[in-house]
Amino acid sequence: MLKKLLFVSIIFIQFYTYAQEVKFGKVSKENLEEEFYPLDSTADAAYLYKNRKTYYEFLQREGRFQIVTEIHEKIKIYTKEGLDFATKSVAFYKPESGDEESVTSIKGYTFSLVNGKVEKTKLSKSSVFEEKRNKYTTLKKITFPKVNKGSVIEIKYKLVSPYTRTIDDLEFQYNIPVKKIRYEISIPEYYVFNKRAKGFYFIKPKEESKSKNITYTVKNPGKGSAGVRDANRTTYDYNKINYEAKNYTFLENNIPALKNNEPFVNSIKNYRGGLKFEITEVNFTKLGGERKFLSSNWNDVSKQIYKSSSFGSELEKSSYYKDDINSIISSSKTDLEKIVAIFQFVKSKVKWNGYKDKYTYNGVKKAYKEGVGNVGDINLMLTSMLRFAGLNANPVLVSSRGNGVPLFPTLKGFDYVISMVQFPGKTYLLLDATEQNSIPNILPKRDLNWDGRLVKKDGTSSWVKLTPTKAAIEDNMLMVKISEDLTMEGFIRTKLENLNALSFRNNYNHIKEEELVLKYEEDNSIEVEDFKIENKKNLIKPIVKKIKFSSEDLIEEINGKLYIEPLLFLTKHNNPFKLEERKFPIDFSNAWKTINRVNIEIPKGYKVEKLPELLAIGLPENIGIFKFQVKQIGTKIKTISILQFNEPLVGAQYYKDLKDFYSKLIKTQSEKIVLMKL
Amino acid sequence: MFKFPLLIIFTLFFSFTIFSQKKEYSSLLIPIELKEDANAVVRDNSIEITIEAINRMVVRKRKIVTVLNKLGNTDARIGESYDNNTKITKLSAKIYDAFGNEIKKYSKNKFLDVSAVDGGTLYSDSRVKYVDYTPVTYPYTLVFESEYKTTTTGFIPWWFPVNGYYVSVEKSSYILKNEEAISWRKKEQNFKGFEIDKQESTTELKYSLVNQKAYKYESNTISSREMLPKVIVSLDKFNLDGVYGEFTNWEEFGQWMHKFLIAGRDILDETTKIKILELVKGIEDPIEKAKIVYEFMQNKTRYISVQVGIGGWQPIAADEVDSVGYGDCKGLTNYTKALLDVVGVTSYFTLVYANEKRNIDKDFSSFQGNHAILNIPNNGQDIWLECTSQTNPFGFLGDFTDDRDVLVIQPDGGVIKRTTSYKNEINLQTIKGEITFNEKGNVKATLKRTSKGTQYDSKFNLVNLSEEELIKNYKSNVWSYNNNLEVNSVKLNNDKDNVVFIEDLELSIQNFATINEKEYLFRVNVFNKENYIPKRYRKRKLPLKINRGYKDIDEYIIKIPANYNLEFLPTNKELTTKFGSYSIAFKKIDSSTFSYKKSIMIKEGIYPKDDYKIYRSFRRSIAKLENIRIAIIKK
Repeated sequence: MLKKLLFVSIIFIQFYTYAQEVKFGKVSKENLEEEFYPLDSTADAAYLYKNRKTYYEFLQREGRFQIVTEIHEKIKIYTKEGLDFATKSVAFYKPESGDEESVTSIKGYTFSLVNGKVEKTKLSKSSVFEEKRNKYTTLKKITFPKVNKGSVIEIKYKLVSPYTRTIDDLEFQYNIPVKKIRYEISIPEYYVFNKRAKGFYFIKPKEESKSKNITYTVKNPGKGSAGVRDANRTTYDYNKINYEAKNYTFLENNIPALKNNEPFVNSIKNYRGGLKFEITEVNFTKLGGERKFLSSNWNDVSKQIYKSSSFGSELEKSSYYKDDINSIISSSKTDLEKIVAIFQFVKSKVKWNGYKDKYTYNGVKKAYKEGVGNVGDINLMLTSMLRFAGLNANPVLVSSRGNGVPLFPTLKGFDYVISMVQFPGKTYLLLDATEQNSIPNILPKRDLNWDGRLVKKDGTSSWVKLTPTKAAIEDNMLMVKISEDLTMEGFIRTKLENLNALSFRNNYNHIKEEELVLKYEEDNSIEVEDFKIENKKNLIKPIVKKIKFSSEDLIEEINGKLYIEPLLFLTKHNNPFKLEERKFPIDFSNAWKTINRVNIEIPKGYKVEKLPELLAIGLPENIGIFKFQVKQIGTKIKTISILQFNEPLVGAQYYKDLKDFYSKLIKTQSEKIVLMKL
Repeated sequence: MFKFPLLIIFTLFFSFTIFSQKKEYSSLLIPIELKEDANAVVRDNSIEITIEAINRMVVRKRKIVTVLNKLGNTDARIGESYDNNTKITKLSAKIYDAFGNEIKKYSKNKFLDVSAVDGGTLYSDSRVKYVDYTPVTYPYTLVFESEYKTTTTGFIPWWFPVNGYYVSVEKSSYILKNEEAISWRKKEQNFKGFEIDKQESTTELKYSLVNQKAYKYESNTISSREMLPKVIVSLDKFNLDGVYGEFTNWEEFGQWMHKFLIAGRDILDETTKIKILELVKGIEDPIEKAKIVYEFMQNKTRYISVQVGIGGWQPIAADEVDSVGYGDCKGLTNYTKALLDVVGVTSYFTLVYANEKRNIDKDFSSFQGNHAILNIPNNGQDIWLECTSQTNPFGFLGDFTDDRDVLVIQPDGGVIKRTTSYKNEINLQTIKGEITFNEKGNVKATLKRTSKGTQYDSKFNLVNLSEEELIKNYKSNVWSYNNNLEVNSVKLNNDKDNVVFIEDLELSIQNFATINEKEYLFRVNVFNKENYIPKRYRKRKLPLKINRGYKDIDEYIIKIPANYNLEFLPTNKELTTKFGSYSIAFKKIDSSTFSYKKSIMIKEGIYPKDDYKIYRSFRRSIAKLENIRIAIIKK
């Protein structure tokens, strides 16, 4: 890369000056006296200062750059819970062979107020532990001395990495507030990065170009007669290479904490503000090196991924499965039959080892042979087999839940791959063979995040919607009779479809029926007399539960009248949304619908005094509806209740509407049927 | 240019792997009764321990397990742990399918080597070599073999042939070879009802168990530790991380531990001594002094787990804890002891099993316990200090280390003592309150909730929550069954001296009552609903156990809206069983006011399995009475 420079010895001089506003090793008395964070009294701790400087440093002997990241933090601890922040763990890459990262120059202090005086305790070496986590990762574990409620701790360290194409993500937001942030990233012109914002908080950087240079001397060893080295004749050539570096400075004060304490939240990290860097180009032409494009738009990204030997070429291999697939599809008449046969074959042949990646790990051949693979191994193999069978199959790149939303074209944005078969007339099927209980177009929840990127053989790519068009359905049909001693006897049939069926199969298929009965009884306060589950293994059909039960607890008698909740044990009593406000979307991950139909036979000697009123409510923009109706038909009371959400994601702006919607729904459901004696 | 030849070598290697078939590993051969209620079947588990010398032990293990389903994977973990004194010499794993065909093979260098530190520990020497196997079919059979050599003979592996629930055992064996005939002790437990074969000589001990059916888990029962067989073994002379040791009973164990692990670890620097002496100046009563020392320690330190020092058994020196301000349970206990020594209060380092109630075996001395606390003798009324807590009241253990046998290390020898117990009515919660219902069905209430014993334990940390989190706790945990609950004011009082926690609350609930033209209905028990009903087991097999027990007393004055008549009040009820008692009582005060009193008491105890049904029906009746509603009629 830097051939020219490799053969000369260089003395590298670099000057940089920066205004370090917060001095290391000093803390004000006011900071120590502060009893709570003024802008957020709930904070257990706060970053008083968070500084990071990342820059490229030239190594003269090796003729290459390395990335240096300097960290400087001041943390104020307000509560005993906040003491957790006095222990820190820094992970770095240290493989058994190959280039290592290192963490050096760890320095720290604890400041506490003791009898009105500032006590400063130095972090000693014995409080720093190194732990080899696994083959690749080592941790520096640091715990501060003499920390108490009220203390301020300060730390400084350096992380040095030979991996110049990877700049660690910038995090702007944490689970505690930040008083002052200062990040400075300096990137030489030789490296071009894409920057991708994430979360709900952003700091706009100040950008400037700075002229930098590498000044170096080339030593020409002096030679005397007969080639004998003569130091007196040594001459020096002074060389200087100028280059531009892009400096990004992120400065901000008072950044609020973002914590997770609400139901239906996708990974909280997705919502915390930050910035990701992704290399798009390496260009050393000015130095006589090469220029390499890595990615800059979606097509580049797709092409780049496709070109990788762990992706595109894995799709082309077919010799290892040829015979097996030929015999499997020989009896299939239609394309659909072929797809299902191949899909089922891959699921039964290769099991997922739990690792996500768009690239193969074992490689398709080995995965096929050993029966184990990561996501890339399995779904690229599947795609290849479908193509082999003559279908229009292509991989779809996915950013799985927890990996964030791929808004900008980056390689890291995708961490998962699935398969897609397209048919004439814009219809298509999505397949994920890592999930044993999935069926075409019903993907497991981990896949359902934003859109996927379809990559075709020619390298062109386009977006594909991943969320299932079919809602997750729970359909209950309940019939009961009431005996003279007010016990209720009845039958319930529950149908679970689509994602509901998938999650049931995942969670309960392997659990013994006896245990399921115990759980069902406990959850619903009934006694089960007969319990059947159908279609556990028949994935195309819905899960059907048929249960005969009895209960003494579903009817209330007060002053001779009977009070019954129309939905019996299917009644929802609890509003999941309890807090006043919500900052991030409500993520159900898929559209869903629950239908309850309940028929209650009016016992002899009683008549209806009162039935709950009809209710039909909706959320704005057709996000969701709730319908509830109780009617007397002959000697029966028939209740129908439908709750439906058409969108997988409900924006935080609708939180108040949603909370209100749920509170109405719960109130109505718990209104009672009143029966009086004839 | 190196790429090419390497590639060829790899390919050659690859094609050499040849898999074989072992018929005896086929899962088809497992007797049906061993598959019943089992997620895994231990086909043959053998452990062979050879004590070559006081500082040399070799342990060979071979585990053959057939895993029947996904849940059985936990019985087929592939891993061996080690530390600085232990060297793993052999390690291999093979996987066979249902027919006994070998499908996967791991040699020693395929094992991952990671640190065996859990989330709560900052540093430890322990490491583990393991394999993360992804099952491709069920059933499958694992054959896992390992061998390690260690210089520490203090911990000889014990024998637990049945390792928990849902696992059956075709065969399990244990051989202990004591070639030098070093004197040793053993203890057999829970052998009754198990097919165990035993052979014993001065240099060898052998056990084996065959054809043991799987146990099914049932809730509310005794610990599996108390019913499954085990053999515990200990050498009279041993080596622990380079330290020689000798004991045959707890007294000697205590002497040894004091001498080698604790003595001399209590040195403190002069300034700390002066500081602590200054704090207790003028105080004579040793308990009052101890309170001050305990508070000093709580404010100065925090708990950080660092597992180093003589097999993890030696506490960090007191002056080191003093200078860094943190330590693990041993370090903090020893530090507190050193401080108490300075002020002239005697205290002893104490070993205990924390969390799950478990005794140090009073008849069998060996390395036992997983936690340390401090004992202060007090004329037969021992005081116990939990030194890892910054918030516990003085002398309060809570359910972490209560009511169990512990080993108190006195310089002249170890002594078994029992910690404070928190039982039945000691764990008392009382609520006194006034509740007012208005015409719209809304509730306003003022409550005083007072908690003691374990009920104190579960609440006193509420003082550390921020207001937002505290209110969330009331809404989402305590009263999650009351929608629309608002906390209008809350005052907490953590009375550490008397170990009493008091909450003064003002609450309101919108739309609590159901109103129609004539009637107004509401659940009379607004704030303390006990809905718990134990699971219904068709055929209960294990005894019933109720842990600790508790008592709740609720007293409310309830006001109804003025335009309604209080016609009927529910009848008073009283249930009394051997498991405890329950009562509710209503009393009309005036035309729009009545009182509601409730009392529930559940007693600690172990009862035969047939009692489970009666207990369940007792809890069911309670649950029903807890939901009683009252209807009042419009005037």
